[in-house]
Order: sequence, then structure tokens, then C-alpha cells
Amino acid sequence: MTDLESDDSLLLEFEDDDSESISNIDAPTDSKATHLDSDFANIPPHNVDTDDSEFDIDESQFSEDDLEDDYLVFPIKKTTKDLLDEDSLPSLKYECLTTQEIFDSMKRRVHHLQPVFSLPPQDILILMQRYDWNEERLLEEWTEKMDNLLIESGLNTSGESDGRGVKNGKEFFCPICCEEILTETFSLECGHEYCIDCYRHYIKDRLNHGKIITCMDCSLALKNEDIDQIMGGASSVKLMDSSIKSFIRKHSNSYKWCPYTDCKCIIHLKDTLSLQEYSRLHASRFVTCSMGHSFCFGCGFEIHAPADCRVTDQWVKKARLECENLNWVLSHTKECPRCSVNIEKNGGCNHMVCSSCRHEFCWICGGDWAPHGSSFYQCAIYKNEDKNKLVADTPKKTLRRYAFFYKMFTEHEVSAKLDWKLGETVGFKVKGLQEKIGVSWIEGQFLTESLKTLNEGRTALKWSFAVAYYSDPSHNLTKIFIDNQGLLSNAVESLSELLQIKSPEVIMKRRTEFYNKAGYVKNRTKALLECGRDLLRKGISKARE
Amino acid sequence: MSRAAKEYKTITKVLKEGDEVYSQLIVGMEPKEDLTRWEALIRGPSGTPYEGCNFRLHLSLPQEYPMSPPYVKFEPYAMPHANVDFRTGEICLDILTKQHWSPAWDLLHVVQAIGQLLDEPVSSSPLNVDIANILKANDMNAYYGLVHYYIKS
Ligand SMILES: [Zn+2]
Ligand SMILES: [Zn+2]
Ligand SMILES: [Zn+2]
Ligand SMILES: [Zn+2]
Ligand SMILES: [Zn+2]
Ligand SMILES: [Zn+2]
Ligand SMILES: [Zn+2]
Repeated sequence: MTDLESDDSLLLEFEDDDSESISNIDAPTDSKATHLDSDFANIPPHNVDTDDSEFDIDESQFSEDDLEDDYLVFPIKKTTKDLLDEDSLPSLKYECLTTQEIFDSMKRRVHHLQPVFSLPPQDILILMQRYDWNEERLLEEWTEKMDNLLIESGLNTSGESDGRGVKNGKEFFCPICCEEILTETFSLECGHEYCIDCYRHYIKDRLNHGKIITCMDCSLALKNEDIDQIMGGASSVKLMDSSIKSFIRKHSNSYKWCPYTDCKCIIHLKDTLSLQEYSRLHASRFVTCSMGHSFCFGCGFEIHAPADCRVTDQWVKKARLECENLNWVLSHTKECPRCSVNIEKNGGCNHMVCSSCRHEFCWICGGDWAPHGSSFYQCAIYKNEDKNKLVADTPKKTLRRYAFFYKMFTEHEVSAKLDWKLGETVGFKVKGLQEKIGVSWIEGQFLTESLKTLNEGRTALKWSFAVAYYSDPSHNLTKIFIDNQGLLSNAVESLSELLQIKSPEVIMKRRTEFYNKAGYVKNRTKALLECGRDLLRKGISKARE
Repeated sequence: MSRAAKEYKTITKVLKEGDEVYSQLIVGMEPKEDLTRWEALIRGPSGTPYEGCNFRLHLSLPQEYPMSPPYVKFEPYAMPHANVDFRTGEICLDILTKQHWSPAWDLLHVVQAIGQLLDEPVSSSPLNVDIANILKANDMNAYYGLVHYYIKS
């Protein structure tokens, strides 16, 4: 059943698949993952810089033939993800795989290696497993050790295969369970024979460990066919799966699980060198699995540009830490400082006007609005005090400042969720266009594209508040960044309005407006991302505890 | 639980007949109440700071034994050893982990492996940091001194 050679026809080729994998962005089920407290927040951030690279596998092991071709045939792919990649950055080369696909490629390697070892494929599979699928290291040690390597790996070197396998039912005293019963038994060439029930129990406990399973009493290895024979089914698949999983753990530099709940995709980064370049430029490394889930390859979090992984990590940690304080601030800062009447704060503007006494004040510092000017949200008083060092930051004010940025962040998160809902209706609208006024599917795609653009804009806007929070408020570039936030915010709102239109005729009539507004959002998003990267690169925005 | 019964038979036989390997190490070994709880008294191996003293071990068999390893502990506050938690008597020994345990081993194997651990402490995975540090520094006088100090107090 595991004849490796006959399997070849089923093997999937490893192709650079990212163009396909990002097209599927409008899956509405993803919306849950955009919230800070969703599954994402529970994923421990990976540290890209210190992850092991010791036995880093060379991608040429998988596809030495394909690799060169990739560079020739697919130079930098112009896809929609270019929006997030700065032109100067190398584009990430990655593929989306499953454990089965990785295992299949390992089997192909085994097939290729057969002339080197002159061993049955099953034995080479054991060797590969023992060397954590690191072919290079295996070959190195093979030339040095030969027979010793076989013995260490639990392979029989005697050349005899007598006594291996399941034996027919007989009266048997099993030294493990100490039962004397009529039973099938199993033993390897070593002759350590046990009842089939004990062996089944023993193997079942070990299938999830991903390690070579040996005889219960010596180091001879059970091969996949032994395991399947004992278990009476394709149980070795499970062992191989867990072995590949441990391989992925050990190569977390170039392989990462899609962090979305229940997603079985693995992203394999083919060129880990470009990661360093990304890190240097404070750019994030976003990938999309074949289910359409986008995430940061660096930290496993959702797409968080313009924030880099460090800012993201600090921001998320802080949000969790301040959780209780935040609730307090958010529920107690709605009072007018002059007449104590409760005031509804609407949207992102800090310019509060009391509905009762008409007092104008700043939501962040609670002071008079007059000296604040017309900034989009920046609390000028906060900034001025900072400059003159007249009054030290009080913890309360610091918390208020944070609460403000946090609120902006979550507001955009909520809006993003509403956009996802909008997304569901956009699908119907496209259909409506087709059915009612005979617009072709391709022609109708501008709606889907607009929605996607809207979403990217929102995400950038959302995370820009993390970058802004850590920015030096007195720096000129911070002001430019804030202006950019304001511009993108307006652009996003007006595109969002446009997408609310229901009538297919009106949609088609205002079609150019969709193009224009979406194009504008695209440009504004790009500008904000670039500005954010600049802030980080120049150290004006710096994540701190 | 015929496996435990079989082990009981073997152990009593080994101890009665004075098996060469085990009688040097094991002073006594018997089940408490039922066959799932055992106590063993072992002799400190010669040529170690434990020589001349006896140490009590508590062994208990989980439901899945022998598919799962037995739980083994020294008497609390009685075993000063790099790989034993002095306060609880817990032992850090790889064959006692689910990952390394083989159902082909039995309680006698386990006791023997623990005897060996007294002879060859592993300072790289310490449960008693003080002793492990002295071992790493290779200061034998201090090692003997500290172990004896612990045993006496
Ligand atoms: Zn059995
Ligand atoms: Zn054997
Ligand atoms: Zn996924
Ligand atoms: Zn990241
Ligand atoms: Zn008022
Ligand atoms: Zn205002
Ligand atoms: Zn203010």
C-alpha cells in the first residue's frame, strides 16, 4: 500500500503558487480573525531572528529543477499584494502546502536517493526520518558511517528477514501483558515477540510523536509496512504526518502554519534571505494561504502594516495588560469636565463639545479645546507639555493617551468587520448586475476589487494607530503621518459609502466613481504605509514596554 | 492485573534467591496494600557519597502500566542528588518519561536504572541546582561534603 514508486503519478508538483493563493480574499468567514482578542491573540509570537537555522533545509532539496525556472519564468510577480510591498523590496517567494504534500515531496526525494543507498525505499524513509528529513546531513553521515548509520537507525544489517511480521494465532505467553492466550503475535528479526494487542497499544501511543517506532525491547525500527500490518490499516500515515509536523517545528524559519483556526495550510518561504531585508526595512512579511488567510510570516499575527512585528507585539501585549484600566478610562472619560454631563463621543475626533454647556474640550487631556488647533486627532497640549517639560506625564494622562489610540484601533477593527458583512452583499450585487442588466462577470469584478481595496485601507489605518502611539508626537514626520491617517480615513469612508449602494443601475452608472475612489484609497494606503515605515526606520516610532 | 502479579512473583523470587545483580542494590522491595503501590529500600552504591546509607523509593503503577511508565519517587527530604528534587523526592530520569519508556521494562529494571543514576548523576538536567553546580565544578570534596550534610540533617 505504500509502494513509493507507484505513487509517483499522484505526486503534486511544487509550484510557486502565490498568485493563486491571494486571489481568494473575499472569504467572509475570515472576519473573526480581525479582532484583537480572537484566536490570533492567543498565538505566541514567533521570534524570527532567533529561530533555528542550524539545519535549515535548502529548498533545492525539494525542487532543484523548479527553482531556477522560477526565477526565470516568474520574475517579480505583479499581483495585488504589491500594494503592501514597497517597490524596492524583494517580493516574498513562498508556496502553500499541506503536510501530505511535504511528505509526498520527501517520498520523491527518497526515490531519487535510491541509487545512492541501494536500500529499499522503506529503509531510506527511516533514515530520512532519523535525520529529521535533512537530506544533506544524512548524506554526509552516510559517507562517513555507512553500516553504523544503519544500526543506529534500527535497520537490520544481517541481510536476513526471517521472523519479521505478524504471526498467526497460537497459544502464546506475552511478557508484556503476561496473558497466556490464543493470539496473533508480532516480532522483528530480533525475535522479541509480543501479542498483537500489546503491540497495537504500544504503536497507538507513539503515532503522534513523529519519532521512529522501535521494537519494544531493542532498537530495531518498525517500518511503515510493519505498522500498517499490525494496526490493520493505514496508520503509518499518522506517524508520517506527525514526523512532518516535527520537521516543520524544527524549520520554523522557513515553514509556518497558517495561524487561522483549523486551517491546515503551511507556508513555505523559499527565500529566507529576503526576510532579513524586510526586517531591516521595518517592512512586514505578509503571506496568504490557499484558503485565503493572510498573515505575517514574521510574527504569525494578522496583517499589521504599517506596524512592524515589534510594534505589533508590544501593542498587543499592552492591550492585554491594560485591559482593565482601559475599560475604566473608556467608561469614565465621557463626562464634561465643566458640568459633569455625560457626553457621547463619536468617532475619532478628540474635539468634544458638551451638549449641555457647550464647553469645548479635548478628550485626551480634558483641557480646553482652544489651544489644540485643528489637528485631526493629535492632542497638541500633550505635545506642548512634552516639549516644555513643564508638567510631567501623569499616569492617568498617559493611560488616557493610550486609551485614545486603542479606541481608534478598535473602532477601525469594528469598521473592518462591518466591511466584511458588506462583502457578503457585494457578491449578490455582482450577481444582480449580471442578471438584471447583463453585465459580464469580469466587468462586475470592480465591485469585488473595491471591497478588497477598502479592506486593505482599513487594516492599514487600524494598525497605523499602533505606530502613531509609539511615535514621538513632536516630530514633524509624526505630524505628516497623522495627516496621512486623516486623508486615508476620509478616503476609506467615502469608498465605504459608495459600496452601500444597492441598485445595480446606479452602481453601473457611478462605475467610474468606484474606480476613482478605490484608486485614491490605494494611493493613500500606500502613502500611509510608506510614511509609517519611515517613522520606524528613522526610529521616530519605537516600540517600548 | 496479571502483569503486576507476574512481577510480584519475579521480585520475591529474585530477592529470596539472592540474584547477583539485584541483591547488591536492593535491600527489600514489597507491595503496599495492592499490587499498584510498591516500596523499595536501596543501598547507596559503593564508591559514591551514598555508600553506607539506605534510601526508600515509592513506586506506583498507573492504570496503563506497562504501556505507561511507573511513577517513582524517593522519600521526600531524604535524597540529595543532582537529578532528584530534595523536597518532593521526584526523579528526573528519561526512561521514566512516557516518550522513552518501553513496556518491555519492569520494576526491577527501573530500580536498577535508579541505582545507576546514584552512581552517575547528570548535571545537565538538574532538579537540585546546588549539587549540580558543585558537580560541574568537579569539586569532589565539596560534593561528598554537601551530600553527607544533607543526609545527616
Ligand atoms: Zn501482550
Ligand atoms: Zn527487538
Ligand atoms: Zn489558512
Ligand atoms: Zn509580524
Ligand atoms: Zn458641560
Ligand atoms: Zn473636531
Ligand atoms: Zn488635549
